[in-house]
Amino acid sequence: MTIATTLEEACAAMADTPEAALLAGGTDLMVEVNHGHRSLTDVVTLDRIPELDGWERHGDSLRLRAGLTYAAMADFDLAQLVPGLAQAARTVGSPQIRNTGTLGGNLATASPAGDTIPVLAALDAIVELRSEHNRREVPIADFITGVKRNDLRPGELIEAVRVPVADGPQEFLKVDTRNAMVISVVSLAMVVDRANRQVKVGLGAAAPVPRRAVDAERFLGDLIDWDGDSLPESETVNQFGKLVMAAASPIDDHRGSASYRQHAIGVLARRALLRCFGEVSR
Amino acid sequence: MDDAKQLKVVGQTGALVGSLSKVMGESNYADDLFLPRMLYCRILRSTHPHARIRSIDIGPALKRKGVIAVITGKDLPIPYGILPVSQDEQALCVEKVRMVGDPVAAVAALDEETAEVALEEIRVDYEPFPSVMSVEEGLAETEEQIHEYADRGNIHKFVSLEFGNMEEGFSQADHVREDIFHYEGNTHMPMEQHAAVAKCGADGRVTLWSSTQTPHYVHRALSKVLELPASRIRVIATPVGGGFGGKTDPFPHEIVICKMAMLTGRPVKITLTREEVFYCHRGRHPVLMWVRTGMKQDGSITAMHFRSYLDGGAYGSYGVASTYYTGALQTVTYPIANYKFEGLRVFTNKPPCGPKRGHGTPQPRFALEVQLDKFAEDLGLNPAELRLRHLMQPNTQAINHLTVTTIGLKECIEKITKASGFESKHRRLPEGRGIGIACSAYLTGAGLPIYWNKMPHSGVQMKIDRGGGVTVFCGSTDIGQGSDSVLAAIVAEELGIDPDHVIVVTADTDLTPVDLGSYSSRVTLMTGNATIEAVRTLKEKLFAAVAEVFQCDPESLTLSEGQVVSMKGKKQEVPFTDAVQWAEAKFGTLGSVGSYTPPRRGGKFKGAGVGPSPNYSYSACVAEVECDQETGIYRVLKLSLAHDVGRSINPIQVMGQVEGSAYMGLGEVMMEEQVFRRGLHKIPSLLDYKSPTTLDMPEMEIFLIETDDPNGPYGAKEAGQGPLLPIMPAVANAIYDAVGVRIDEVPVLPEKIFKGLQKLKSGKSSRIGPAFIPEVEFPEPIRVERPETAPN
Amino acid sequence: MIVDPYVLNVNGVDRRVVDGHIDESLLWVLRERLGLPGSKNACEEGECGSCTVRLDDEIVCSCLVLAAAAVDRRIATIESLSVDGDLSDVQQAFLEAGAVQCGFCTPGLLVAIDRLLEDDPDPEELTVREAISGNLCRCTGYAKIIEAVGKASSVSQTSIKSNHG
Repeated sequence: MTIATTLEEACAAMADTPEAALLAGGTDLMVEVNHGHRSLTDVVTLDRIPELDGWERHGDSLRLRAGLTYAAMADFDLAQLVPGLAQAARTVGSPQIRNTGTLGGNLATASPAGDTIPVLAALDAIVELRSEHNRREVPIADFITGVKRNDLRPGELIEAVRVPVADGPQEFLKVDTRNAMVISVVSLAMVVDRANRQVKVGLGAAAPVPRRAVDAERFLGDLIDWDGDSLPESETVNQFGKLVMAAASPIDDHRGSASYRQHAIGVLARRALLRCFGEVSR
Repeated sequence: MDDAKQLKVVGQTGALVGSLSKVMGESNYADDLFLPRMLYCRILRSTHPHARIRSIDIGPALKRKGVIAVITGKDLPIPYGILPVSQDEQALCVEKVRMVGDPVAAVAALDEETAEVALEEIRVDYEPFPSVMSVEEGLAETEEQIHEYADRGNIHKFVSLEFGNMEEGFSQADHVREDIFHYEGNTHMPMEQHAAVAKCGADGRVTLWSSTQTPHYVHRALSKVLELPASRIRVIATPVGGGFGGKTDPFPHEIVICKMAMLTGRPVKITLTREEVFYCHRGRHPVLMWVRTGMKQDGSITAMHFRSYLDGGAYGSYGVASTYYTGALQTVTYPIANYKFEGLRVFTNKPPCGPKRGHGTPQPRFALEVQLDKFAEDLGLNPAELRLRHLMQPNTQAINHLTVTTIGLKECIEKITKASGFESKHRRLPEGRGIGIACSAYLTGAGLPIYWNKMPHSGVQMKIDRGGGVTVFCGSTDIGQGSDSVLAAIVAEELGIDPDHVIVVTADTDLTPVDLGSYSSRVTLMTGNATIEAVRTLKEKLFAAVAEVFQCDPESLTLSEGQVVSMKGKKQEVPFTDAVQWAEAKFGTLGSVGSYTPPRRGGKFKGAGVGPSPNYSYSACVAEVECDQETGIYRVLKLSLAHDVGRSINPIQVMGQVEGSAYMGLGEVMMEEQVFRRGLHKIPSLLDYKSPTTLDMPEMEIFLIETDDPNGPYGAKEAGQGPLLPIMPAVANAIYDAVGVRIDEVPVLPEKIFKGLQKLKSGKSSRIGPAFIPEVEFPEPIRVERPETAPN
Repeated sequence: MIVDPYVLNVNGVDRRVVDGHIDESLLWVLRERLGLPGSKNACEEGECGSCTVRLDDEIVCSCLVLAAAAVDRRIATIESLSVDGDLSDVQQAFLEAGAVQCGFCTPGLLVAIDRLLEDDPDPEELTVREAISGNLCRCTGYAKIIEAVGKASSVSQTSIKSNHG
């Protein structure tokens, strides 16, 4: 058992005992342990490492360290800089879970329904990885490789995630079967990048891996009145919704059918768009 | 009933017995018990929904260090079951397994982890049979019946009853509707998992501490299966962390640990995992229902033909009673002039269904109340008005011989329609907003015990001694509903003392007289009445002793504020404790008993035993909803609920029951589903089996109506189950009002509403619900004469 | 896998755990090793809040905390809420409001609410609901629980008692 206090210590321990489980918030790992699905032989804890806590701003870039809890992500100051992430974080689980679960954990677990993931996808997040002797960076689209599968190599941990500081409205919406402690039926993150005149859309629980609604984004790019003040046409909004729907490939499960999820994500897309560009945002 | 005198304790919001230790975290639930040298038990459960057990090899498990004992079905072969007619369970399966999760072996070890690992080393050789997963499949021919004692194939039970004359009844109708409904199964999900500890003394006496609602029934089952006289077994109900009907069967784990304790000579504990609790189940039956109802233009029901098809799961549990219940209480709210009920229950290879809050009545009540809403629309009547026009009258009999004593349903409906503004809102709210109404009734304790006998349903013993201490002993079980507090309150009321001075000893088969248990909302009424009887006997002795000293007429004495007071002539008073000493000196050691047996009511036909009750509670609910028409997602904005409780012994407790019932009803209608794939529970966790959080609860406005029923202690009726029943149909009716989509199913899910809206858009009927009923021939009905005071 | 003995600071007291297994949760250790069964195990997956304890300054689900990793932190459980037999305001309020039925969810709720009132002594109803949205109750419908917090917060305003260890 290694209760690491530095990144170096953690990485060395991981190299030493490759079978050790990494423990930050524990909100995913401990469920498996409690249910007997995972047996621990060795553990390296990451929650006492200052280098993994907090965030920093470098100009237009935000570096969110992997140990940031959902509660911290919703912190007022950070929420100003990346509101979409704050919105997503606020919807996760419960206060108890938000106090403990981490950004790094959400990424590493790589569940298709992970709440931060569509936001990070829409932000074109870069994942910083580190091992004893190596560092590398992976765009989020390449980091999550399948359902609950990630690109972590042996001995590697997630150190931080880099996202741009918000340059326009951001929205995170989800469809739920109850109002707390729930895994979303579908979710959607929208990031408006005014400088590049782009609207970026990340889909949640609608594909095995993080997905962007690329066609929808492309379609929308020219049709937004970036300089002026007019609302998108209703036909634009509708077509946008349809294109987002087409980008989704959800599954049937006990939370919802694929067809309902597909429909719902279209609804979320239209609503997010209207919130970002409609009356509400004025 | 002392209505002349002002009640001092009853009707007040007093402190609740047992709550102090609960807020301090000091309450000893079963899993909190630790005994020296205690072993931990885990149960191996079937992974097949239906299979013969060819062989079980426990050898490897026995060899594991830390394992003390391993048993299988042959160690506990005697069958048992809660109902005498369905003694179809074995603590560990012997010949075959009938569901995924069926227990087949058990390990007792030094710690839970060792026991768990040892389970994996037990080799069971199964020979699978085809499995049955639905009512349809249960009705089909089968080569391997789930139970050989079934009525026919996998049909566990048929019921067929006809009251009055159906042909005549339908001929008198101006409108006839036929509707089909489905109510999905759901489960109790108590916060506390089932847990128990067993110990066998050197004298061979067995003690079981268990989280159970019915220690008496557990006691009987243990005696049968362990082949020990009941007097050699002690069952103690630990504080129960929620029951709702899920802890009213004797369970395999309770029997298993007793056996383990007997074999090892050491205490044995078992706590079920949350997943195991989902498989234990004994919850709400999924029921398919077909209702054909005839109504006159004025809204009176001339005839109703009701059919219910129950998916019973793998064992009988209370299922025969459940089947009857799906046909019993339709009749006690609005008069039904002629009534026919056909019901059947099939065995399926899934966890058994049994009693969950409302026990077989929420499903038909949903059907009835939604159908009435449809009738109201057909007739152009306001649905509240339709109900108000034709309500059962007090002191009459329903068509199926159930006696309605008091009925506060009119006041309930009037209260909530006024409070909610129903009249002005119904069919008038903007699109997406809707309001709906529904009513219901429930019994205050089943009129008959689970096993036939002529003995009391509840017994109370009392002791008062020269120190002024008053102790009341009763077999009743406090499952959080506060039955201990009700006992204390009634004793305190009768004796004019502070309820804090009453010691309550309950739910211990060595110490307390038999009470049948906390189910069917019987406890306040039955233990309450028994307690009143016990106290009055003691009062007589107290008054006799005091009268002698005061030289007055014992009739002139009264107990008040800790004193015995003479009310006539010269005012004299003596402190309660002194009066007790005088009585103890005069009569010797003071004690008394009280018992209660419900009056024999109801008809004299087979099946008449289910439904009768000393009185019925009544509830009415208006639900206001807001529905997102793009997604079908809806919110219940407000519930206005009125409940005829007869009289509140403690209004805070009653309100707590009404609020809790409303919450549970919302859970059922909005999100709860017990669903399976090939016998495997799809969602056996608190994450996936959704129940409402604080953020899912609406505003609730609650009215308690007191009708002072002569059969209840101080006029009381039940409050723990009735208020749940109208929630589901009120919400479904509100959804229809909001978006024009009929959901003839529970749960009412956003996806279903969405589908209905799509159908509506494309010009089709927007109704969502079952389209067919199975082809099955019910037996010829038992024809029962109309009772004398029945509606025409 | 047994870990070396470790020390947990629970309710202000250092408690030594010997022969602990690496995968024991804090909930398990509190209940089974340290004689503190007040925190309840209802789901073992952080989805009900019955096991809520305070870890340093925040509420967490103790079933999701690895016990051996909780060293050097201040752990406070339900057992610490009342001091020397005196109930905290929120415990007293629960009793008076009738917010306790079966009581199984009560310890977790009390810890969560105690923490809430520390930050926000007079919270709005929605704030209360959000603060306890991770605590499931099957008995009360939450109504009397919310009322109890209202009672407790009005009392807290007039007294300066602080009751956690």
